Amino acid sequence: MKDVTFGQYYPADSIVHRLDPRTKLLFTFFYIVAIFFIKSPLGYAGVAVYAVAIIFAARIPVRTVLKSLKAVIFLLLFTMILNVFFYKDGEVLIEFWKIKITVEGLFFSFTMALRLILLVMGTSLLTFTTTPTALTDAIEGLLKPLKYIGINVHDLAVIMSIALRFIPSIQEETEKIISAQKARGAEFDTGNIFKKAKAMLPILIPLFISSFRRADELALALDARCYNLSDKRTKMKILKYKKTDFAALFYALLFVGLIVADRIFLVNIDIIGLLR
Amino acid sequence: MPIVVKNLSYTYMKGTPYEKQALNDVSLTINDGDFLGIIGATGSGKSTFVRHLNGLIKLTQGSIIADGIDLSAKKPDLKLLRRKIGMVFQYPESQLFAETVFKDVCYGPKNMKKSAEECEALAHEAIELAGLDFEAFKDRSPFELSGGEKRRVAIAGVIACKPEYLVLDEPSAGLDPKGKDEMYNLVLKIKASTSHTVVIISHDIDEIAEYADRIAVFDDGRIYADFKTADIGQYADGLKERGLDVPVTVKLRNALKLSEITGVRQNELIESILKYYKTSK
Repeated sequence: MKDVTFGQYYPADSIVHRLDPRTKLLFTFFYIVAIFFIKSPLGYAGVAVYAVAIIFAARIPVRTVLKSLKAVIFLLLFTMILNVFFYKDGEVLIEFWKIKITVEGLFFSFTMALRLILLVMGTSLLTFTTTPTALTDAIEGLLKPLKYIGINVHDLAVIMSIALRFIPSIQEETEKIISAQKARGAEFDTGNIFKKAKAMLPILIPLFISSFRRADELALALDARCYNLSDKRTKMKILKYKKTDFAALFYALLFVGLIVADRIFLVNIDIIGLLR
Repeated sequence: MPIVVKNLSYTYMKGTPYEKQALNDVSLTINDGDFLGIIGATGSGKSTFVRHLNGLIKLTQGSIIADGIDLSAKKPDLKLLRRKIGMVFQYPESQLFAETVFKDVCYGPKNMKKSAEECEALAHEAIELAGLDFEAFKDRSPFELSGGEKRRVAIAGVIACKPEYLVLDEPSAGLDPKGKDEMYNLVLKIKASTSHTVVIISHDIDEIAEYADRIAVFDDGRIYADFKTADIGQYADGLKERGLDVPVTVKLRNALKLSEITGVRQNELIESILKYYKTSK
């Protein structure tokens, strides 16, 4: 698990790190929308240039960003292979038994993979440059309008920040319990799938128990400090938009332009034809 | 056979901004029959060090030969190693999982592929050795026990595997003074019967000086000193510099400033003070 960098904060001093988390969240939102709406490879090239530019601006090593792809590599290969084998239209390249591999199929699976890679890279860029607390603040800030339809946004934000806060603690606890059971001769990587599942019990049970105990203690601590959701609470760090935030939002709007351009012009360019 | 550690270094999260060197060129030999106390401030590398001993952390730099098993080999026999070196973690009660005390204590022997009868015999012995009545406790749920009892059950679960070496990471954490004394007496009992070599981590120098025969002091990933408990007086200044305390007994001895008064352990010190006053009168 330690090698998976997806969702981990990467401390650095960069213009992207200093942006308001709300801006980054909105930006990511536009980015994701763009990825799903864009159809043409040229459009993707545009998004890729965007993503790479932000990675450099954020001063995150390319290796770290690539590592975040490790988590989805299986999914990536799986979709690619399926697409290559089952894309029926277009010029046949190789044919055997019932499977036809077409030029268009290869091209399509390539774009699908690119889409997935861009998606993971973009979203992990958000977590690389934004601490979990800042992210929760941003969500709370952006969801504020929901207050008017009776949803307690602050509640949601607290629940989320508590959940995020406990991920590392539970991870640590898990490692500790695994070590303790290993020291008693447990083996987690032998036997068939049922044996493996059974071997997990001595980890899961103590983990559940300690998680419940933790939750209980936390609830008590909240109570003891008179935590009351209905009260109007103030914040230590108040989010404020700066000039760079407006600039970043302007760049986010460029995505909309990119989508429009993609839909109107770029889709009609026949890349495969041009390559030939 | 001893556990020989040579030039051991270890870095957590290598290659990330969270990188931290936990151990830096540590060499230490743990001999048969040692009662070794490891002390050091929080984050000095004590836990990382002992986790290496039974292969819970993979050796990356340096060498460890534990009871003849070379951990720098490509595939060391970790199963055999863990059978030989038992490990009691901090707050070991958090590893309890089974529905009865008996089943939990049997977990280790069962993993070692012992027969049902052997498991029962080992569990019986271990629970009794841990100071609990086997018949009274075996069918109870470990979760309904008191904190001290839970810890005893957890320790029984480790000594049921009959390790030759026993490593305990702060076994007395969170216990009251009486509980602490009982815990150390339990460790002495285990040392006398099943595991003849004991390593204890603690940052309570009084406890360590009272029970351990030999002390290794960790400081910022290195070993600052490694000495016989009786010689601790020589290291008083160095210990203070490293944010560690000197045992009360040593402070008292130094305060009395009488060369005839020796001893580090409470009873030794009292004896020598009494002897001094009797002879001087």
